[in-house]
Amino acid sequence: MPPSFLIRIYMRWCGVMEKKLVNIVEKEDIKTENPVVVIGLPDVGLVGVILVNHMIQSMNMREVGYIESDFFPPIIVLHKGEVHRPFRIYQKDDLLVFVSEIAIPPVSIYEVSREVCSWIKGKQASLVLPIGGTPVPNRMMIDKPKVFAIPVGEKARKIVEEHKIEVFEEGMVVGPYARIIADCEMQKLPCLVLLSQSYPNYPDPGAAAATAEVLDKVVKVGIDVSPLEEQAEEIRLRMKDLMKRTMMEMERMGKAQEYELPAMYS
Amino acid sequence: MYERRRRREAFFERLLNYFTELGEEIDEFVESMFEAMRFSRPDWDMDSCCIEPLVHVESTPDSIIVTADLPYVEGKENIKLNATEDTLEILAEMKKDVRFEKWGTIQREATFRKYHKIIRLPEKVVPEEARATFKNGVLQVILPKKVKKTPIKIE
Repeated sequence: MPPSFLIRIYMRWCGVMEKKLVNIVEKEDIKTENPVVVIGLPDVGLVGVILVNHMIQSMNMREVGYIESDFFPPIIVLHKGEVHRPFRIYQKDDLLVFVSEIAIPPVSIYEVSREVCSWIKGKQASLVLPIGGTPVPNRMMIDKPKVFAIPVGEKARKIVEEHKIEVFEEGMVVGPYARIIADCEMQKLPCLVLLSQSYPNYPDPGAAAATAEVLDKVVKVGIDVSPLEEQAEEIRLRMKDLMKRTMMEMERMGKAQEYELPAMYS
Repeated sequence: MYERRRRREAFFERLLNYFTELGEEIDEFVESMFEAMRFSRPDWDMDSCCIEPLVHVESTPDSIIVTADLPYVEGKENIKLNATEDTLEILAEMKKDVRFEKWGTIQREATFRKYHKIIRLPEKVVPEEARATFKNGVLQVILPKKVKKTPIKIE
């Protein structure tokens, strides 16, 4: 993979840079008041995607927008004969969720995160909750995965203290969530990342259920976790191919670094 | 005069090299973008109701660790493993027929009842000494590497 500045030179040369690289399209006027935003992007164990998908289905959320980018592979999703983009926004009252059915290509992470965070800022969100997994090699032996939080901002820190969520204290985050954390901090958006212990390479509905319980404590939307447990096997089989693609992208973005110890502050 | 000309030529040569390298990197990038679109064989077979499981192969200093995600497989008695020096074959029966309506490209009902995959191992192993465990629907096979070690004395 060539360095990103070369890609930019190439893109500019082709005239792609003239327009915005990432666009958020609202299919209808999205009216919300200080919404809570939950983000589920493909990551280790596909924890975020599984949980957000479950929320969309069980809470009957409506598709209100999508994200387009020339960086994304040329994919369109068909559902019941209707055309959908792979990276979509859903809404129910003051709850917005972002979900992607494609692994975010590493070259687009900066632009996607910047665009998503400024859009969320524009909506005056009260809290951003990116949902993901943290890989543990012995996940097979863990029956109830632990959920860790990365609070960004005073408000998020208070929530963590109030609900006694264990904080992810030392380590590294690699991938789209790393940029979302950075952008939320820059934009002064309260952000609380929830990371559950999960299989590094397999879809993990058990980790999604564990995260759902913590998420429900924080935002109180009434998520029923039992379908996640009952349909765990079906979810694992259905998510197989997305997991395979995500693994390929994670390798390219150096996801293995999450196993490493940070060199400083030790 | 000659010196200046030589320097100028060297400069243009460097510039040309730079652009050739840039071009190669761009080609590589475009190639990698199209790689994802290239058609390959699907990892399921409708006639034999068979699907490939997700597997992960990891290499440690002494062994190759293969794990496989096998949802719908109930116990170890439903899994058959065959190993050679450089391959591992996984065969597993699901506890029930798993039906999907309108499966992908074929747009019709698909039924799966078993997993099958042959994994090419990155190094030679000793199949007789392999160990396997199956827990929570995940299979783990540890295959010791076939390496002859000679201890070296530190002087």
